[in-house]
Amino acid sequence: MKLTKLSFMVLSTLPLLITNPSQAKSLPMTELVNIDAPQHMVEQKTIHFSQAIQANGKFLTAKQGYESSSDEYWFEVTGAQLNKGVNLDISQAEALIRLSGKTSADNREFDNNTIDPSNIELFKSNHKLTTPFQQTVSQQQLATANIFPNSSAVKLDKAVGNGQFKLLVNEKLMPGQRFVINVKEKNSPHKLHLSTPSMNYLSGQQVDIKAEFKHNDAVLAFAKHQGFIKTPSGVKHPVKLITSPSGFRVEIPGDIANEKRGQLYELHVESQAVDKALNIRRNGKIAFAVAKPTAAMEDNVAVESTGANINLTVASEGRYEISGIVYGTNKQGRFVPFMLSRSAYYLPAGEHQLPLVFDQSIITSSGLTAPFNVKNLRLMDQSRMALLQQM
Amino acid sequence: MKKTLTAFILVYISFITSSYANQGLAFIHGTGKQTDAYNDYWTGGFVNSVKQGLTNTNNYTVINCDFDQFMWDTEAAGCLAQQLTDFINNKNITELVMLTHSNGGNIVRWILSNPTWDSRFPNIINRTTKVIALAPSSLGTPLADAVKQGNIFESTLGWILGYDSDAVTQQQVSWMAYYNQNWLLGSASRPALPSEFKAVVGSDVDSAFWDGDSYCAGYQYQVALETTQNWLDSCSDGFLNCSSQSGAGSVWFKDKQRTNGSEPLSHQQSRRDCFNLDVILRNDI
Repeated sequence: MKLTKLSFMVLSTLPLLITNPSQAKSLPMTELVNIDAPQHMVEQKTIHFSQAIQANGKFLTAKQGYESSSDEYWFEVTGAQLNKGVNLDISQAEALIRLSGKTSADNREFDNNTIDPSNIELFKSNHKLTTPFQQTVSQQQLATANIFPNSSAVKLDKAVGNGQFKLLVNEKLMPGQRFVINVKEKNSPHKLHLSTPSMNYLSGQQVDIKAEFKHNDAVLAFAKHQGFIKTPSGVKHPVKLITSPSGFRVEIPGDIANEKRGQLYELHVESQAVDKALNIRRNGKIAFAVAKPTAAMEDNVAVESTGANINLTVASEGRYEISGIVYGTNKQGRFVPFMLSRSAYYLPAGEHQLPLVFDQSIITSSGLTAPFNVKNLRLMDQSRMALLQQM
Repeated sequence: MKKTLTAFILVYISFITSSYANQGLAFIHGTGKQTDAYNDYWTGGFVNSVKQGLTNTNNYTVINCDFDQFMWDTEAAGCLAQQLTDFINNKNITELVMLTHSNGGNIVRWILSNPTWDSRFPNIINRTTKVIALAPSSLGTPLADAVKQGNIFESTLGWILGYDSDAVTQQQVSWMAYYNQNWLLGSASRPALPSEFKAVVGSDVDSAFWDGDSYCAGYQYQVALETTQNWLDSCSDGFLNCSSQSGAGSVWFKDKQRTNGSEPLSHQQSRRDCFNLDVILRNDI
């Protein structure tokens, strides 16, 4: 629904407050793109909705980052390699090793090929260990919880210690069958820490990450990191981790497009470090969204008691939601947040002047009066599930 | 005299309001495509016990949707919205209580957090008085990340690990962090949900074969859930860390605080009539 000139003039006669948000936009303005309207079903009706919020609430809608730490690693092997024996770096006593058979859409022969944990052998310095495991978990046991398919697991006995081992499967596996070996070293002091200052990017931007291999709080020098990006379609793109003042910078490959609504990209980091002659491996990942700039709103917003008037430039047809935290004035003359308001419209490409409508009953029950203000303004592309702007 | 009159009027209004209120209860399952959640997900013993808390015990519905999909998909939130709308309309429900388990809490949060996404959502939100979220996966689970390890397509062969549903993808820890920051309300430093969302938190898995309590909801599940604890914190229900279950809304109680014998509730047990859970829920509705 487009605001008519007449109604805008009527609204304009009410007391206005022009906001000039001091916060920088988390997603910088770039050239807008015109892309086709999505094929999936999208709501067409205009909807306004407001809810009361606590005045003392915190509203973290600005740029937010993410941190993760990993005490595990994983890699792929073939059945032939497992029959011959694969090297494992173990840095933590009582590590858990999970072996998961992969299936292939192209070859159903590989379905349901699970390793019997009683056929798993462990060697250290070419000597077969007699009682290496304190626990073995079969495929049948793991399957009951519908969590790990085609999987079995063994937990190392405490007496086994750490160092380099060879894991061998003493049953005939299909040579071309592929397995994921996951070494989980719970409670290990060695962790790969990954962090990013933002989980939202526009296409063409670079992802900033910090990758640190730590022993407790001490950063291990000379750790080696390599990375790849996994697209929402599951395709792997190797990327270069470019050293930057804050850690590393990664270029998002320009030829990858997110055709899957709401799904995220992942930056995977595989790291190795040596600490006191112990080789330690870790894998970690961070998810992030890459949006196409399909619309943009101006940062000068006229606010009155009925709503805020937003100027929106839409480059791609679709459904857009404007939302914001509404502040009213209390008896001491201070702005107090009291309402979260949203308005969503299905819009064609073009220039639009649209109201973010306030709920009058919430205003009345709040006891707050004009002037009103709106902060934490956000523009979402609901058709493509993308955060386009926040200020 | 004036105070007495005011008190009388307030009591009268309260009486009139409650007389017209028509409470309904919806059982909302977790991850998976359900066609008979009454038998396959909840069991009749649990449903029939909990619904005794309603004034009209016919005012309940058991949702059957495809929650293997992403929470925003038509088959997930769209299906849930339609079944709730039909329930509200058919039974003339004015006060809706939603009882969710696991990922069902996320689908409900999607509806409560995105009122402008779908024209059916505002009416559901306006009638929802509270959500009782049994072991909700509000911050995801490291197990989802573990399942997804190695799920990468390469140029020649599409290799995957099974159980690879979109719901599992969504419940990876960093994915849920993104959705909580951008699309969902109720987590830390985000505006609160428009209605109460209170969680029951499962904190441990009891799997000793000599302990009869391990057998509630099936011993075979318990062994698997104890194994998965290796990927989880010391406080978890075998599938979700306590921090994830507590990650949105408020914590109503942690299992041992209220259950019979202070027994923990594993992820399987928190949707069954184990250790008086059904009675605790019934008394709160």
